[in-house]
Amino acid sequence: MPIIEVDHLSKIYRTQKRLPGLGGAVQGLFNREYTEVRAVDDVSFSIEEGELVGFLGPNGAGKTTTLKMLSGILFPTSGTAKVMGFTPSDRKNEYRRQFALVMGQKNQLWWDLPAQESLYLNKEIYGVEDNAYHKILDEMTELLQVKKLMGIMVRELSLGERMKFELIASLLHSPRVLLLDEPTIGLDVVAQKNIREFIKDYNRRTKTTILLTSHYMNDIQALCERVVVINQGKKMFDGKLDAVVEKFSQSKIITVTFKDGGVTNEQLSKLGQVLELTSVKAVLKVPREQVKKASNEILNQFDVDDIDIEEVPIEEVIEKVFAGAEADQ
Amino acid sequence: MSEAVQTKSAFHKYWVILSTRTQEDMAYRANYVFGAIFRFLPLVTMIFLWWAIYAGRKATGASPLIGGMTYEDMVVYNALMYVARGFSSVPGTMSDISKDVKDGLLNRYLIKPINYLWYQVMYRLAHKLVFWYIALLTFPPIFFLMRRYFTHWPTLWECGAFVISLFIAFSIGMLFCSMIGMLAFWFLEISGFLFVVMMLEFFMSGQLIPLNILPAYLHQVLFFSPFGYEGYWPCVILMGKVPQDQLAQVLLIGFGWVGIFYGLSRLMWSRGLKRYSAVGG
Repeated sequence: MPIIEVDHLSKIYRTQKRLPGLGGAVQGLFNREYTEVRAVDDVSFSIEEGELVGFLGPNGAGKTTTLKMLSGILFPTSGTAKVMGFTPSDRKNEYRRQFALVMGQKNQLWWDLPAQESLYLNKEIYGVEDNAYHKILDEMTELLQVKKLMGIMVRELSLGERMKFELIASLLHSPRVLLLDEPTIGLDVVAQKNIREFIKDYNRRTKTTILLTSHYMNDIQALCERVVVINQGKKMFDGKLDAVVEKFSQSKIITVTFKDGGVTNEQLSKLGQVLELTSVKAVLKVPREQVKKASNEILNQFDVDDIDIEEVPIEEVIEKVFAGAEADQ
Repeated sequence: MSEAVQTKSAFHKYWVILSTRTQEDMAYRANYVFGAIFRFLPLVTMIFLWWAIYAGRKATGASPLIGGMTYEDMVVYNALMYVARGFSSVPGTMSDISKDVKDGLLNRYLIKPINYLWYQVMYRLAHKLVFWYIALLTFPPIFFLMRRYFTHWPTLWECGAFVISLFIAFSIGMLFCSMIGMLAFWFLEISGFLFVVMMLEFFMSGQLIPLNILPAYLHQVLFFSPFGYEGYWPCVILMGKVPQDQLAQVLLIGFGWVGIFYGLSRLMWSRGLKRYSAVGG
């Protein structure tokens, strides 16, 4: 049985439409018009225990709204969400003791105290036993290399260090389901990598189910085998990360190096879209089904030193999906 | 977990919130010391003001009592007001709660097995603890300097009723501020409204002038209002201005208001949260 089951989930926000300027503001006092924003639109998916799934989408795609519904902060407008058999919006303590939500942009640590105090507070809030607490704390501070920082005021820590403590604070009660909302946002490359590696290792060791949102492709590529791509509230894709490329990109990239120059744009453009052309090198984008034919022709027609056929980079594919294009031609 | 263990751990968790917040507040103890000393400056002004008023009455040959209070009483009333406000004022509660609601900071409490309103109570109680820790050093010398004004030695009954009234003062102050803060569930901007409410509260709690020197009809109304418990009642109880047979009645009405405010704030919380979960978050 899946640990997270989302069934035709929708969230519609009603926002007041305001005409521009002072006149509009005054008119708004008497005559209100509302527009509906479908933040999440009929989304369904299910996640098995122990999976690490990436939730990918541009800003405003509905990722955070979905996570909020899964954590019981928001009521769905329609459809249902079940996590570990609980309906999140009931906000049962039994449920709240078994999951964690980490938001990259909001913090729960107390600013004017050392991180260890906030951690202890969380231990008590979740009712974690002393032994378990010390064991988990030791392990995590070791792994994330923040043991020495436990006694330093949170306000004096760097963003990356704070994020590490945020993670520890959220994992003290060993949640079965971990929802991570942009955990690497605003961090430098090294800190991003640290957090990423920790998450991957944590999932592998503890079999905690993790649903992670990000708009950084690097996060998703490093962590998730499976992705759910969402845009404008709608689910665009659900499956293996590699399959995204196959589904949304109907082209491949052919890179050719010539032994001698003189190849013209005209000759090449019959075979595919010319992306780059220098005297000795050309990069072509060729429809998937014509790749074989095109490469044959290249080898026959020109004096080729090297030929390389690749998939379109995933970032580019996702970008297209985000941009709303069904597929690149 | 057995029920007893669960109850114990529930209490313990709020106790830890209280002690953690106390630690954090202690980081600002210098601020508290300054506050505890300089908050008495307006008292000097009040002493001069009342002195002028009473001297003026004496010159015209009018009664030396205003609303049954002598000049000394008036000074003591103003001094005791600092003690009462030390319980009933919970600075930052309104604005913190409304900010949590407006900026979505509430989310971090909603996902945890914790009651937000009790969390707030512990948070403010910690503030009061640190305040009194400092005030116990600064209040006695000031009261000692003013000893000639204290003409009434309170009875045991009055002392007991005074302590109970301080509990009521904190409860009403806390609940009232929470409710006003929770208005943010329904209204985006309430700072203008807050100002009006705070002015009314300032007047109706007797901080400006004792309620018993107001015209009788106003006094009658304010006698039953919840705001008197935030200042007026604790002061006059300790001063022996409430006849012993009325003490119980006064305290009972106070508890009644605590009950009503508690019920109302629970209602606002559950209604507000429904709205919050439906429209934003």
